[in-house]
Amino acid sequence: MDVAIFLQTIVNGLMMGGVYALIAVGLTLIFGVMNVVNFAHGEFVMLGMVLTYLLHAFLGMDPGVSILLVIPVMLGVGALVQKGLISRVIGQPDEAQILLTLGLSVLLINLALLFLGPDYRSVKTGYKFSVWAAGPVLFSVPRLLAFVVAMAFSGILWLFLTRTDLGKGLRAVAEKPEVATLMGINPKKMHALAFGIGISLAAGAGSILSPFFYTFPSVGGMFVLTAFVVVVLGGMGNIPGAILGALAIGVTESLTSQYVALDLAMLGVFIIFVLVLVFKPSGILGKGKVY
Amino acid sequence: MTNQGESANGVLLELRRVTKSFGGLTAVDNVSFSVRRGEILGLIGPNGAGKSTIVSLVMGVYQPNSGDILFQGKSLLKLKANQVVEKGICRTFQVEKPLLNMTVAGNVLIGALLRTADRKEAREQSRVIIERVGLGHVAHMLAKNLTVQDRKRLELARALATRPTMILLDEVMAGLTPTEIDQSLRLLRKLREEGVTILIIEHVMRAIMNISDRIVVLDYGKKIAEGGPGEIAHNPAVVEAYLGKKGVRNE
Amino acid sequence: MSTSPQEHSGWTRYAPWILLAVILVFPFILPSRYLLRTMVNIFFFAALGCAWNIIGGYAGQLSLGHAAFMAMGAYPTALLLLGYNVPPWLGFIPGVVVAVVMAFLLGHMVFGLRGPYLALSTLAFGEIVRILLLHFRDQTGGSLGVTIPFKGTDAWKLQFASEQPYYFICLALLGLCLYVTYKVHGSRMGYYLQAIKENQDAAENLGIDLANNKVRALMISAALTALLGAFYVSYFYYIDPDSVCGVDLSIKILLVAIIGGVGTVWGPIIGACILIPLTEISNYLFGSGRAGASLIIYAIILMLVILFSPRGLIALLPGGERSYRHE
Repeated sequence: MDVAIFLQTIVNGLMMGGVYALIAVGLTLIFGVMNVVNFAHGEFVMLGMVLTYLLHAFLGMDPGVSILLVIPVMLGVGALVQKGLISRVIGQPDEAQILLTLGLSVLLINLALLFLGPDYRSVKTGYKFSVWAAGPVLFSVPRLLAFVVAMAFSGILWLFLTRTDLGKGLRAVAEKPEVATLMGINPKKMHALAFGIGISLAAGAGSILSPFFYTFPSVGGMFVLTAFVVVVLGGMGNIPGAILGALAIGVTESLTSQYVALDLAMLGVFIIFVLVLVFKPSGILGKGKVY
Repeated sequence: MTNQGESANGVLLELRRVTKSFGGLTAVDNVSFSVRRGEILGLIGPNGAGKSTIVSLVMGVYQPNSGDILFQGKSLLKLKANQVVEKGICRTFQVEKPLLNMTVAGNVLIGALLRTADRKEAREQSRVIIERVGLGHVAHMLAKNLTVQDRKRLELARALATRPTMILLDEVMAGLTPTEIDQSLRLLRKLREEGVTILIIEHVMRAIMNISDRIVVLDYGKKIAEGGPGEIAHNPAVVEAYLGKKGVRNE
Repeated sequence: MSTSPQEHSGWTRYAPWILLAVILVFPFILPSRYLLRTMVNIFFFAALGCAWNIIGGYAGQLSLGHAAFMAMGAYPTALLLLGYNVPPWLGFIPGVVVAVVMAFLLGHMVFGLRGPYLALSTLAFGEIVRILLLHFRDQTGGSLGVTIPFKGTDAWKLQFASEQPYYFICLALLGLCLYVTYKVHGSRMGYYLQAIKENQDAAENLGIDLANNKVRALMISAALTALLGAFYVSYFYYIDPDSVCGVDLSIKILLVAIIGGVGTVWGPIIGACILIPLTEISNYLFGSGRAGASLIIYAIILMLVILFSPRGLIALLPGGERSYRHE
């Protein structure tokens, strides 16, 4: 076995895993705070990609810059969506939120289809094809940047949750909602905040993906299932778990596509998903509740 | 009621040195006691003593870490809850679990369907039970619209519909007025006359002292006393267990 | 809320029979090809909705990958027809067997899981099947799919130049699905599934075997869905992984039942009667090139139903409440 290829495969997997982490972290946050499984999460990645594409096509903005715009904008959008839509199904049986977010997903995909058409679009940046060599391993610059930015934002989220009052408020609502209310924290505001943060991170992931991933309406589907697998693997509501799980899944996917078959990459991921659900549903790092 | 496989001295349910821990917490610690056919056994103890855990262990919701639970001489270990019910033990839930979008009649019917697939027969059996339990006036009301007392009655009616040999009652008296408690006690006595064996968990002392043939007392997961109501009332260990703790309702 | 058959007044008693009569003579009075096609679509999706309803509506287990069962019925039928000239009315058998076995395995694996995780597993299941169908392209034709050639009417192979025979075959299949649903609704299993859906813990404590009941419901549902997959082959003449195994199809199937009325016998029919004409209207208004438009409408309807009438539109109809069983 060629060590260089193996290392390269691992590195590629980690790079992609970083992006998955950013997506998964948002998903697990939403679940942790609101107990909502957001089936539309992938579509917010897509929206991020679309926004970035439009900013690039019409204003020539580099994705690295537009992400600074995309995230705040989507934060607001997320809060609105939560207040208007998601909040109505909190406390109702699971089917309601599954179907509502599923409906939202279909709506967003097809609105994008309607306004942008089915064509694959790409964001052509100057560094799109740049490569940076470190020993036998080649780092694709846009992917490396994506990894760095993703990890940075994940880190920022972690700091936010552990060091700021607002972040602690979120965690309070996630872990002990009744106590949080008694302490004067408004759970509805926290829900809106959590959802907003969650999907804005997903959109941000979309931004950093756009230099090396095609933008098209149903691109979200590729990410949402992976994100779910990551979240289950790491434990629903568990943020470090999501980050580690994402890196693991990224590597798995990479190894599968390299050593088994390219088109079966997702299959490897799904099989892990089913195995985890059946044998260790609380996640590898535990603490999730699946039964 | 069915009669097979009892031990010679009429023991129906037996817990043998049952221990159950959750993580670092030992909820049930080496508890042994038995319930004889036709008796009403009271299970009391302060909050957190392990009473509900014992019910869950019997019903197969949890498996004990060690020890055995025998019903009619055969082990209940490894059985799932629905299998335990099929064998003849049924429980009521402390926090009621009615089938909200079905009527009282529908709820009880589902219980009756366990023993007969014939819906006419099941409906007839349900009707009888509903009258017995005192829910005749709301038989066609949706369960979600019932009062708390009626919900409790529904729990009992549903359990009875499965024609159990033994019922585990988990705090059925909570929140009832003294008159309602007396009604419930009369009903339980009638059930006992018909041959149903009862294990009753209660905080309402008046009720349990009144109805139990024997009482088992738990504290911190251990059995600290066993005997008739009179003995238990004067048992110093029992008194201390209750006085030293919060969460006792005395009526 | 008591139910009594005497509440049916004179004409509503006969309404269903009149409707049936109209449906039966319709193809002869108004043989518009387009209208008949639409009716076949309605029957087809109503039947699919009925099949889904058994596990998704009655048992409350949301299957988001149901298209996979349709593919399991479609592919063997198509391949046997193409390769060995086996007519669809025989060829469906292996497909149904495969679907039932897969339902058994899948059910035992995933029915212990809570709502969203169950839904996700079924989604993953559907996608796994689709990816495998794409991957084994030597056997399945991969993304190129399987095309059944049409060389003129051949009743043996269930190939007809006109719409009428398909109309009646599909109507019969719908009748079968309705009959099965009706049987389930009235059986002990039907009651048990409803109890499971309402409150699993309570159900278990009434002696109900959760796993077995759910798995049996899924097996019945899968069998019917696979059968409809076989019909798909003989009506549409072309299958590929995306058209018979895609998430869009799974969503359309569940939509029919959810919009109409979960856990009722007639709900899926109402759902199909709303959804299919809407699709036609949207195709007309926006052009069928803009396939996305009808899906937007589906999505909006789905969300509106969930927000305002979660048990389906049948609840809003006069007397519709009776369709749900309260006993």
